[in-house]
Amino acid sequence: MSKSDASADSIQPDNDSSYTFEIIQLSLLRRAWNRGQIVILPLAAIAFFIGLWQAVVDIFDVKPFILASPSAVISAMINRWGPLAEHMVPTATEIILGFLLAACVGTLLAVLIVTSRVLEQMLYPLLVISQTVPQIAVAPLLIVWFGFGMLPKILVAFVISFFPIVVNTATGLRSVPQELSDLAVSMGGSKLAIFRRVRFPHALPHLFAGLKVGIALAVIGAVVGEFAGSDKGLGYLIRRAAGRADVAYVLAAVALLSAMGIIGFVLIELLERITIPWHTSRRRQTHRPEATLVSVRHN
Amino acid sequence: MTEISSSNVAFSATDTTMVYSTTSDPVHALDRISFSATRGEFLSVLGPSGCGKSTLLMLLAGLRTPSSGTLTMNDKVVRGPQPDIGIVFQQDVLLDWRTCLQNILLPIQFRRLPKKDYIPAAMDLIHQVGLTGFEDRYPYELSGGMRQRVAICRALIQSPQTLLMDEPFGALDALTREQLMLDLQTLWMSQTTTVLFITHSIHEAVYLSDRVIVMTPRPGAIFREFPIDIARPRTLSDMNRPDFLERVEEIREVFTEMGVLNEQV
Repeated sequence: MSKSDASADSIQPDNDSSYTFEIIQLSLLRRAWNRGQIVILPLAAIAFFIGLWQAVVDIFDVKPFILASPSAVISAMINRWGPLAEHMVPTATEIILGFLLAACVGTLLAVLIVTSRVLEQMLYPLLVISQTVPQIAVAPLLIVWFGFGMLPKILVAFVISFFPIVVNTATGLRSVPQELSDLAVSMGGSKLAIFRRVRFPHALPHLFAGLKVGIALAVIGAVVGEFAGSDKGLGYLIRRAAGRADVAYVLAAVALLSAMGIIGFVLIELLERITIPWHTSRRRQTHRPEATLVSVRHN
Repeated sequence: MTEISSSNVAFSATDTTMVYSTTSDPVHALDRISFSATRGEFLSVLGPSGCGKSTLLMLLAGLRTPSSGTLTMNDKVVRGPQPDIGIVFQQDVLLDWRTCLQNILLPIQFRRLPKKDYIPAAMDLIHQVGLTGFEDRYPYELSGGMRQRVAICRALIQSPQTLLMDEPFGALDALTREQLMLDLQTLWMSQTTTVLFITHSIHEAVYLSDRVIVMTPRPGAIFREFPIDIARPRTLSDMNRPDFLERVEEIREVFTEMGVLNEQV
């Protein structure tokens, strides 16, 4: 039998035609440039922004208690690395624990919602209410209930970050095509087996999308919890430094918080690539217009 | 036409009616359908869009329950999902996270059978549809035609007595479709499977079938049957034979008669 599809799809360099070869070379260069762009362009934008910031502070002689220059922030970070690092540990712990709790509870709630109509009707309004209540306003109450330790901060991080995880995962679990579930039933799959082998893997891209939103929110939650009342953590540090108008120190702490958020995001994306390469590689494929250039020339 | 007891019957429907109750108006999908397929037959159901062809397939597979009437599969009344069938839909619905081979073995895992025992059969099917060397590729690395071949292998892995196909080539380009028609004929001839092939392409139906059932627009009822007695294996150039074209023309006239086709120029 024929393999016509197989050969038509693959790109084979045509040795007889030097023109085709040139195009392939050109496309490799373009591909390298496109890859590089992903790194270079954002870095250039950030460098430009920081340069502008420095220039504005220098040229207009902005007072350091109004806006510290980037160089002042960097020196604050270096000179006071000790306390910064010390306060980073509890904040990081709160973020990680709050986020992990949100990931577990969020996924579980999503599963409950999609498996039972009754549970859905009971849980959904509660979930929506939990989001319409401003969590920031609840933070002081959690301090009253759970004291000054880490627990209330973990809870704020959890409450603020679990919602996108629930909603995204539930959407993913629901998005299995009807034909696929029919087919699975006809193959004799039990409900549990279909869930394990079809529905859950199918929802993973959505789950990861929820996790990425969740980790950013967990950082906010932990800091808000610390604002509400604490004696350690970067949020506490920011409040104290702001009280002294030590803007450089505040910004150094903010930069560290942002770095923690970015690291969390990158880690999740890495995990996503390992867990669902079938999804991430397809997503990357859509950014490759130069591949069509070669194949068009070839057909 | 509806004798159920005969063991020569692969599957049948008797006075089967299907009405979907929706929030607005109930949809009358099938109206008193009666037919039967002989074992080993290649039977096509041809009809305009929305005439309930797909519903008929779902009923035979036991995935939906008819409003009234009886269906049988392998001499047993259909109640619930049928074990000894394979299904191919228009969409291949392969699992993106499984390789070709793992996709083909999915029914084996669902039935809790030893996977190892079925690997040779899977490799054999892969070879038959010309996908040797692609066993460990993921669906996103394959073309639409290759993916649909994998879906066909998955349906055939347990050598089911019945293969139900719902416009399986509908999403493919014309050339790939012709290739798959040839491949399907070869596969079918090498097995004893009875095929129910749902399509809205007259050429496809005539080329592949022993018999073509033409259905009316909704509510779908059987309008006429056409035996296709062209010798096998049929080649693509057989589509230009006078008797082939005659059959196509006959069926087209039926569609004009029903008002599905309107030839006013």
